[in-house]
Amino acid sequence: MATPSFIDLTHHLSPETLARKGNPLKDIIRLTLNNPHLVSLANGDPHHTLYPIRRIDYEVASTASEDPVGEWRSLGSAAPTQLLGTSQDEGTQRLLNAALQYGHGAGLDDALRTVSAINSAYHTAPHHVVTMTLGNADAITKCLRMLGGPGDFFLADEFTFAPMPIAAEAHGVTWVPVRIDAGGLIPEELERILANWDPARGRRPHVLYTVPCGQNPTGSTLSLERRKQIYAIAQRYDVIIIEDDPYYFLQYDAPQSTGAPTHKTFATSFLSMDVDGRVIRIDSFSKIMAPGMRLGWITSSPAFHAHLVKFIDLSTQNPHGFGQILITQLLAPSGGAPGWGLGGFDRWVRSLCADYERRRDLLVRLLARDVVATGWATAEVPEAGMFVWVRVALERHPRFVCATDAEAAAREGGGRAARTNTAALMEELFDACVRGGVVVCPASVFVLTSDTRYDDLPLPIEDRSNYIRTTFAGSEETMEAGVPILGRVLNEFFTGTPAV
Amino acid sequence: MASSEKQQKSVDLSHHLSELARARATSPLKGIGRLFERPGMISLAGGMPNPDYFPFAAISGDALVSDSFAVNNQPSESSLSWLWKLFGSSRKEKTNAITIPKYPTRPGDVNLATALQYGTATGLSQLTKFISDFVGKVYQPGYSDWTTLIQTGNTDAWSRAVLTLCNPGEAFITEDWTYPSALASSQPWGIHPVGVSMDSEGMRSDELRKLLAEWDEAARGSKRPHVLYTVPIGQNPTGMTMGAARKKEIYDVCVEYDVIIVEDDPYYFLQMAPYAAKFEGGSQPSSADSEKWIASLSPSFVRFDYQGRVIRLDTFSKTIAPGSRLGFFTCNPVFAERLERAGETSTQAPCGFGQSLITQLLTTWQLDGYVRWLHGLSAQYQARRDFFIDTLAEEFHMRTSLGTMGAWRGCTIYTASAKPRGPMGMWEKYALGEQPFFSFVPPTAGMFIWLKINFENVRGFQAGTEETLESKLWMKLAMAGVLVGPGTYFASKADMVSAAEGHFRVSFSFATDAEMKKAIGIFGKIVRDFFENPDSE
Repeated sequence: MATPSFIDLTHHLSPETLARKGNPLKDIIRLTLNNPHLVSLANGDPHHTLYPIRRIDYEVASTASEDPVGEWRSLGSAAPTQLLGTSQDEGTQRLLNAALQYGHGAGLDDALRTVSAINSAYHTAPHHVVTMTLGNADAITKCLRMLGGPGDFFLADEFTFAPMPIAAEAHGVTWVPVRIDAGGLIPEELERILANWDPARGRRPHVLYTVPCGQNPTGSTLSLERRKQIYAIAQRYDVIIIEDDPYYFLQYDAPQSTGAPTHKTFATSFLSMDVDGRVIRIDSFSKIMAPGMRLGWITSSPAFHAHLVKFIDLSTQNPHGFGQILITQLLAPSGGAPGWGLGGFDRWVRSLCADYERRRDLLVRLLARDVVATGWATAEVPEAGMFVWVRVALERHPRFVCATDAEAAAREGGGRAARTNTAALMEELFDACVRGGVVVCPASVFVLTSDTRYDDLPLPIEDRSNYIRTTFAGSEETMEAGVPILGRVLNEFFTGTPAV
Repeated sequence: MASSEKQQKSVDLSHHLSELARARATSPLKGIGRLFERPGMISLAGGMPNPDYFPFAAISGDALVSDSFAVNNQPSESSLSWLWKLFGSSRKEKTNAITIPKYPTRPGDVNLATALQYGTATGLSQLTKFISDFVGKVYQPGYSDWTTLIQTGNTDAWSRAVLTLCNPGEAFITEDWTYPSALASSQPWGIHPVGVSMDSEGMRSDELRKLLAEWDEAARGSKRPHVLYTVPIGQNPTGMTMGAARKKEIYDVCVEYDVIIVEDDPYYFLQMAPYAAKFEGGSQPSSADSEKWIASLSPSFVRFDYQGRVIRLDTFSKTIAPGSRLGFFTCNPVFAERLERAGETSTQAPCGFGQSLITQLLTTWQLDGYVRWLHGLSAQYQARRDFFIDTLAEEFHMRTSLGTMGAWRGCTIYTASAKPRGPMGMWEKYALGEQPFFSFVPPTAGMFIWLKINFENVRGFQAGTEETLESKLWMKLAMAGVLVGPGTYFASKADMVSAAEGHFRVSFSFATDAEMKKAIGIFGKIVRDFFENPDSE
């Protein structure tokens, strides 16, 4: 293995991170964990015989077949299961006790080995290290706080899942939206913002937050070419990339493709390109197993890892033992344990992906039949994720208004203010949907607020917010009932006459 | 139990919220989320996976029955459970099997599909209800609109609370000696502690009043503190416990000076009878009746809180297991809402496996059963404390005296010195004779004994070297195989290491009886050698 050639990126750390000292008691825990012969009278950890929990067993789906998800869903309670126990031998009993103790901020060694093995199977990043998290919301907030503070500017996709920017804004970070299209973040737009950055605004943005696969909400996925360009730009302008990739395992083929989903390769991650140590990748079990597990992991350079661990020790501490036991038992290649192993995990995620792909195809079909057919909307077919981004052809609405260049220039805000009544019409459409009995997400809730004094976005985002986010994460029945309503409401909204 | 007077609602304390807490916007998706709940509404909006995909059929476990531990303080109890373990099984333990199916058949049962779905930051409804009933019955808050909010353990809870209340650069009040993580989590923001001196009941109310009354903003460089952080029961590290009268006094001072109290109380249920040496017949068992026992505990600050100015932090770390990472706030609804906002963009709801297991455990035990479990647990810790001190008394010559001054006024102080051993020749080696090595006051709650080390009796002692001696002795102990908490870790300010004294925090929570015996043997030898010859390698 070559020596890591990561560059020193310390200057990206926030003042909060640089000022943070370690939790001294955690040093003692680390000493204890490293020497089993020490008697520790140092920490307030109850002896394991004082825990009331003596056994935890997880009954999980079997992944013996080639299509475990299909089997799991079609056979219901008759589907075969496997029992992951914590009482069959000393090893598993030790795992239970270790997981229920106070631990190291990064997580249990066993659990860390497990997620490292997943990383090795799907990415090429031998010098990056892993840190367990409480899921992506926790991971993102920790990364944002590690890197940013008051006065900092972060870059992100112009439409972004709202809670993430909110968390950073509270800490004084200002977002700079980057224009995206059906192929995700546009590298030229990213470079334009960085190259033209006016130092009078403050420090040039040094962090990019992006969801490369099945972006939430637009469903777009970055091509390999774009990823390479973006990474090169990040190197040129010294930007840290936070790669939030919860939909990585939900990457689809083109509809009706004959390629067997079980053998395709997943897109190359930013992590796999990262020679500098400037990519922080965030993974989660939420979409591939269950969101309520609240478990995921961060993959980063060892330097960033050390700062994350310090932060974790002083806030959430190590993740809960319950999830860490589960993934250890599920994936560790330990001999006698009846887990999935990496092979079973791979069968599960590929079969899950194939199932979601069928659901995507269903939603796309329904949208084509009931919504696109009205002529008032178009829909992109997503290559990954859970969302279809539907464009409403508002420019054809009888009450659509667009100011002329002269009118726009005369207004406050000049050319950067909204020229159209898109926002008002979309609000009307949303209300009509709710009256009709269907809820969709309007694009406006995902808009990253931009500073209109600058040309970060070439066209006002308000005028481009004529989209709605629909999802195929729900049940088939929901889609089959909801999409026709959406079509009817849309038709009525454009023609003013109720459909028959 | 509950006051018959009509309780008032909390007063408006929103001026205590930090700029960060005020700046936390509510996600625009939340408004849409509320629409999902309308009957008949079809949602193409949310990104929640269908629970059918969760690869879990059930989670199950064995939990000890609630009366597993005796309440009458049998000294052999903890060693017994260790013995069971030695024989590699828990056969002698009585357990309840608990199972949480993905889709339970009875409505109202804990549902794994729900627990594993995205949720709000507020947690499972059955757990919320249990916690709320428990708080109402056990802590009896003094105002009517108190609420509880689930969190992922008290370290996270405090780090959220301090940023919800304090702006960068502010000072907050704490005990002179305190939990170092509490200080470290706010330190990057320049939010710094101001210690108040302590006595046998922890923080002194007269000193607190003095500090607030005489606060000089210009000299101190920050405005008068409006947040007080305290560990009132089994204080970490000193082990002191604050009684009802002191809490009332402190509460009244906080009303007068408009201070918010953050009560970090992980050891509340580890309250125990005063220590008595073996030859005196040992310490008294608590009442055999769990109802009476729980009513006898020192009340929480929330009992006196008629305004809603207390944020109480509870954790299941000490009562169930630290790896649960589960606990709850009790506070006024305005603070709870802001704390929830802070949670929903970070930890979100605590882990669904843990929530469902612990909810099932608690609802199986029921409220009375949980109280019984806590009662048994406190007896376990009492037995552990007694065993530890008894063993110390075998290793050292132990003398008791009544404290007449300082922090230990009115307390029974135990002072340890070298024990005469073997033939008179041995005496020569311990020529220091009655010179005490260390002293302590046996705690009446918690997990810790706070040892005050008399470094002035170390051969060749020179004033000013206390801190070096403390770390030197700590290192020697660690090399010999015994870890203790170094006292300097717990100082709220750097200049607290006072003349000729050092401290170690020693925990009796974790080691088995055999390990404690071994550790105290090593401790004895190292301490004796160190006082004789501190520079030996």
